[in-house]
Amino acid sequence: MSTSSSSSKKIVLKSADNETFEIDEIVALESQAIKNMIEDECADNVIPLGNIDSKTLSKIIEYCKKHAESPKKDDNADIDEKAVEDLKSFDAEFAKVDMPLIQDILMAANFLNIDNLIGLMCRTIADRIKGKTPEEIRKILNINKNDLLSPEQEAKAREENSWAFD
Amino acid sequence: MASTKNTPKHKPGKANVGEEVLDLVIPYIQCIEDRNSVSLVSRNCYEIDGITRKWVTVHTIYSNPSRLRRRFPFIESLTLKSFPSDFSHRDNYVIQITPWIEQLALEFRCLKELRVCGLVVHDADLETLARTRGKDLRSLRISKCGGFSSDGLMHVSKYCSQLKTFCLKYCNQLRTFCLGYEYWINVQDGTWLHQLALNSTVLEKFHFKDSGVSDAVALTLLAKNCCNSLISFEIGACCLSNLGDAFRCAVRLEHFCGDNCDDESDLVGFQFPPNMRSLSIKDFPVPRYSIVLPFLNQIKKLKLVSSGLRYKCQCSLFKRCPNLEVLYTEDVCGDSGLQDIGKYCKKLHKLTHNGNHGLVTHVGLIALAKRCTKLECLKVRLRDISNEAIKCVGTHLKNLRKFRVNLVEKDGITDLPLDNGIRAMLMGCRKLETLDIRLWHGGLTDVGLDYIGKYGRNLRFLSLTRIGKSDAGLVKGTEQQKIIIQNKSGEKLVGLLHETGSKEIVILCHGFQGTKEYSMMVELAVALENQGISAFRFDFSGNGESEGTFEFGNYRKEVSDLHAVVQHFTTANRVISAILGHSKGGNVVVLYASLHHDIPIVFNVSGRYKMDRGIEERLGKDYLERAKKDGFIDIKSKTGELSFRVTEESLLERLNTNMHEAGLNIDQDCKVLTIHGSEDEIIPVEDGLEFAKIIPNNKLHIVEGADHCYNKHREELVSTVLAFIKENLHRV
Repeated sequence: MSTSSSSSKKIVLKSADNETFEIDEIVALESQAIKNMIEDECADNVIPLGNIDSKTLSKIIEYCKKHAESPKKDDNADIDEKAVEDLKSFDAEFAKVDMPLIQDILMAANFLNIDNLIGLMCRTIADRIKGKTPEEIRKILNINKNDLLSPEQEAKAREENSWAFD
Repeated sequence: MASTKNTPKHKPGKANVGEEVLDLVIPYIQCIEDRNSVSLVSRNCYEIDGITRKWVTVHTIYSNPSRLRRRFPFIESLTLKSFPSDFSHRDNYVIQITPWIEQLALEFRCLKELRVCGLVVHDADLETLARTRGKDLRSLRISKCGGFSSDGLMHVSKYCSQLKTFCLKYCNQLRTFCLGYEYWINVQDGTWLHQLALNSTVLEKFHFKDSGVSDAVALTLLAKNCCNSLISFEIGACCLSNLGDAFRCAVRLEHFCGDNCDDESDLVGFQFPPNMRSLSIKDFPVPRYSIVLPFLNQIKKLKLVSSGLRYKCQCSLFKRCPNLEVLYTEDVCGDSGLQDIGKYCKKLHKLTHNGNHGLVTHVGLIALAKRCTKLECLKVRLRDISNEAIKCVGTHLKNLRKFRVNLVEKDGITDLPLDNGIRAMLMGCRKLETLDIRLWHGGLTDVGLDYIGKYGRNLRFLSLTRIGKSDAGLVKGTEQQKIIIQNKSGEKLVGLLHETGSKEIVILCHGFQGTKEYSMMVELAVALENQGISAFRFDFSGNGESEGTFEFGNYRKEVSDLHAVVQHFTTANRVISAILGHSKGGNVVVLYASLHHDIPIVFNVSGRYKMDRGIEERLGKDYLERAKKDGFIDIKSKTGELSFRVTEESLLERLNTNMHEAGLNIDQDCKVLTIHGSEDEIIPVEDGLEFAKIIPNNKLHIVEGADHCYNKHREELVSTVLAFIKENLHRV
């Protein structure tokens, strides 16, 4: 079945738009959710991911590959600094995508339970809404206004925020 | 740090992804301003922020304990503050911590850290706190507080065995003077310290510098029991030679601060622990202290305080500390000392130069700024100053966040005022948050204050001592910007911009015989500004400060005035998100929208629909005939003076203005909110109803009981406008 020269076990992921991705099991294990599925032996040959589109999924696989290849901290107490730096700059590059994709990646990472990726995306978003007004944040994250605070609630919240200002 | 476990997992198909995303992101937002901002994004965000907020600083004069609990029930780290220190001297009003402690004891089960500043804390408060929250408390810091004694600390010693940080700072009589002598603390009885030493095993930070804690036996016991945790140790006057055992035990110690009282001869065999990075010893006998020599290369923080008249040259020390990051010095060598610091301590982040007897000048400041480019915090006392030196700070210290300059000498300063220097510095130091300048009169003029208002917009703390001639300069920088725009006829229109930095602007149009200063315009502008939306209120031509002649029915002219204003801001790359007009201004905005189609939101506040009504009241009977006969009608005020002249032309223009047609011509995607008072005595509410019938995308809001000027209904008017803006601002 596998065309790869490596003898490692393969996992096939299927995106919402029916694209399949064959990846090494070790890469798939970056996802705690998939790991649990495999351990519970409820993963068939193909794991369908009905809420993740192929664009998002390929980004996630790119991330998991890189992180699976990198030496883990707990494996080796003194991993060389170069590897750490390398991974850092990979992460920084990885996060340079537009906001809709970042949001999709975050939601997918949350679904797949990939801790590092959740953290990376959350920090990226936190960074992008830094210094922004509530309105700007709504705009950046495309949040609709069905759930606004009433003027009175907002006034109260602002007052509270003002005494909690540092 | 952040946990994602409590937040809901992604549910496919749920519409508002952005909000779910924010749920996950909120715990990662560390900056309080950003937290505050996020809390206002939506109801859900408000709730998530409330239950995930872990640390809060509360200014106790503005809030109360139950409110804090309602908003942030799961606080882990709480800071309670009293008045700013400069204010508390004014009267004898003190704030008791008791109600807060009572609430903390009942609720706030997650509390791990408490910091108290400037409040009255009684022994009973400490007891309640220690008994209820003590076992979970990891950090207790009390500064500038009074009211307690050794007994209170005894309770902390007994119950708070997991404390990692225990600090008592500035609680001496000098600092708590303003609380009144009855609150002066007395912690001389050292039983509590013995108890603490016996009970503690995890203490990392123990700061009791100015509370007279100097019992060597107890301190040594403390160091022994916390030998694997103690990192930072600040104590009162205790001879180093008596603490030899303590230092031998505390192998992880990095910071020590104490009042030394030894001669070197007493210190044979004394050794600091190997990880020492930071040292603060009063009257540090620099050259003789061989005990520190092995450490100087690794020292990052040095505080060299002198007492009495023992000021010394400290330069020899600077030369040996290439890794110094934080330095407090009272060096006596003046500029050459500062030059040495620049030369040898290139990693310096923070410098406080408080030399009383070796004052530095602009020369030293320039040398320092050129070399210590990593400085983030700079505090200096100067004997002489120049614009060039201040400018130099702006050129080189791009990371500067705090800057304090204190000019000590009053006379003989040649290069004053420092207006231009301050401007260059503010333009250069973009990250500056705190600016504290203490000069003498003439040091900065109102021009300089104006620069601070203009270029210091990022400042969060500003302290000015003996500066400027009047408040005018500073006021100028903070008030609304006056903007002058030429209309098509070449007349200058004057307006005020309430700038918030938002890209969007709302333009406010006054009514007949009104101006931009009409209270309704001002109130609306301020309300918008408070919501972070820039607002522009201006005078139509012939009104207020704007050029041109006042006219009665010049609707088209006013529409073209408004057009000029819109174009002005559009050219400046701003977005006009809404126009609002009251009364005649309401007609103007409706007419504008029917012609130009470039504004997404229009507020027609009490505009007139039936143009032939309301004239007789102003011009008298048979006005048209009279106007035709004379070509004009003069309207006189009660005192008989000519108030304004109504020409036949302008009268006809009014009568020929067809609001019905205009209303129909407004685009479907232009959202119009027509607001009208049910008791309008000038333009009846029917006119509002008529607009509602014909404007394609109109919402009608009748303010029950309101008159034409909403005299008793301003709040409803303002909140209606704000709500509509918020609802529609970014959907367009």
